[in-house]
Amino acid sequence: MSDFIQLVVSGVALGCLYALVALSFVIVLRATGVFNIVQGGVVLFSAYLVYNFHVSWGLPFGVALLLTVIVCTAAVVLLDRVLFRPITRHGSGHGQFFAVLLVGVGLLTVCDGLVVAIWGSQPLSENDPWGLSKLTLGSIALTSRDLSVIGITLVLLLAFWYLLQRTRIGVAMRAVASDPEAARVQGINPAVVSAVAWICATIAAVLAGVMLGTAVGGGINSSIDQVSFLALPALILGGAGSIGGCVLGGIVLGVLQSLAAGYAPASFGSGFGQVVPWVVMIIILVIRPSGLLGSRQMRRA
Amino acid sequence: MTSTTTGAGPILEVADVSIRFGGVAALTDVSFAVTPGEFFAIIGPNGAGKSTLFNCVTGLFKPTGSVRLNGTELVGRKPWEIAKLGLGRTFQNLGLFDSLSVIDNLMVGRSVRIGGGGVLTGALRLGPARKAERLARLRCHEIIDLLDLGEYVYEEVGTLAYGIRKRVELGKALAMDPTVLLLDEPVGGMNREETERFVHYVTTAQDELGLTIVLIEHDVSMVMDIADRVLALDFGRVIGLGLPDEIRRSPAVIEAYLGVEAGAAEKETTT
Repeated sequence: MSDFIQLVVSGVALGCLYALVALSFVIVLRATGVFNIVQGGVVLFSAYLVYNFHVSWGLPFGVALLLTVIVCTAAVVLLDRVLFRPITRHGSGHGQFFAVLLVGVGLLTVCDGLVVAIWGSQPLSENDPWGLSKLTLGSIALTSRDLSVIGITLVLLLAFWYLLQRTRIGVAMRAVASDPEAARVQGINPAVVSAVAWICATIAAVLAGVMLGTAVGGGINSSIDQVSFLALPALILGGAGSIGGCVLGGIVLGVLQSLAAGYAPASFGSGFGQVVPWVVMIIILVIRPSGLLGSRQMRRA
Repeated sequence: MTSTTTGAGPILEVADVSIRFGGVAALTDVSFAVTPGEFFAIIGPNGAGKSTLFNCVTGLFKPTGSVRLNGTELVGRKPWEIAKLGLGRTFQNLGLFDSLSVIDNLMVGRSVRIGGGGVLTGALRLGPARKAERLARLRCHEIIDLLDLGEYVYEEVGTLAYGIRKRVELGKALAMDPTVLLLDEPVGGMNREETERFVHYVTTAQDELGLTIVLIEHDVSMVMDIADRVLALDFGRVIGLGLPDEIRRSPAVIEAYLGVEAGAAEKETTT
């Protein structure tokens, strides 16, 4: 029983990371109308940047985090201006969708190479900013890292929910997503809206990257941007487009993956847990394409 | 309807506006001027360039020629700048934000009038921004009352009936406090009774808010009843401009557009 609870908690923590990355995708998707996977590169770079600022340069962890958010946001907004906006301006429909997706996949590959070139291919350790001390409740041992991940994710999700649902910029963001042309005629400057969206998305991706880098045993390595692909099943499972969907999809997948890794027979191999999100995604696409919290928008499209 | 306002200069002045898409001339040398407080109608068969003209005026397209609002040149400005200058617009296919509530749709329109505080103070709801936001909400509720939308305030717009959505679309444009309001076939797809109700809302809003209205319409009889002046377009060119009766009698207009429907329009207005 205590094994089960430990597996569930670490699954929720893992799911929170999926949720953060999925959220990062959703915010950009909603504000620009285009799915952009380049946030996976932010996840990767932010882990290394925080390492660089915090461990190599000896800056306090919080300062390192803030610096990383600033650097990554600047880089991503720059990419948006010089790469993605020109592409979406000239293309339309499916062509534009695939162009942005493929440019994003290409950039991820470049990111992989860059971090290895800059920081080497050996896994790096973050020096454990949260401490791997264990919290013991009866027979259940929870790592404080898992609890920090869950706590930080919850706070951030609440902040985003408030921003999107309760503020003017959030309403403007949703207006642009709903009908960009009408929004412009209605006095909304889409450049401002997309800048705010990129900042929010980058904050989510940076936190996901930093927290991934503190995973037990894993440390920072050039393959942690895999999570950007694992966030896709979370998006599909939850029903693309909503914050609630990202959280639900991410956590369900994280828990399933954790349980699968914990209970699957050894003959399934050590990578079985990694496969589970994809199996779930395929099943969901077949039986309920609009996702658990499926919206009408998906049906209409 | 009140008769044409005279004496004042034009509030909206369109001069020699032309635009081509590929090899096709969508608009050619379109010129007209709308006086303050006027109810100005634009008619023309499908593909005559009516909506294209609105897109040129609101900055979605960039034509050659000149469009002036209160003397300010609009050509070359961005749509959101033009909106701030006081030009409101509804869309033929509805430009509503389906996933937002009625009040939020209006608040999007209203946001151009929430001056001062930037996006961030707005987000954090600090002092002045908070007050501005409350005033904006108040104003939106006034418009909601004016249009009898009170029972739908917090409903998601996507779930409402078509006629009501059309009214929300009108409210969204009114929330911008426009000086000139462009209505793109606002009663398309409505039956006679719904049309009359909608026209009532438009004229009430015009009287209460002192609006100048430019309306694109297909329903000729409706236009002839309520418009002060009528502009007729065909193949992107002006083929008639004058009082409804003059347009009704104009041979060019009858040939291009009224040919079939003129009889019906006459019959309806005489009953």
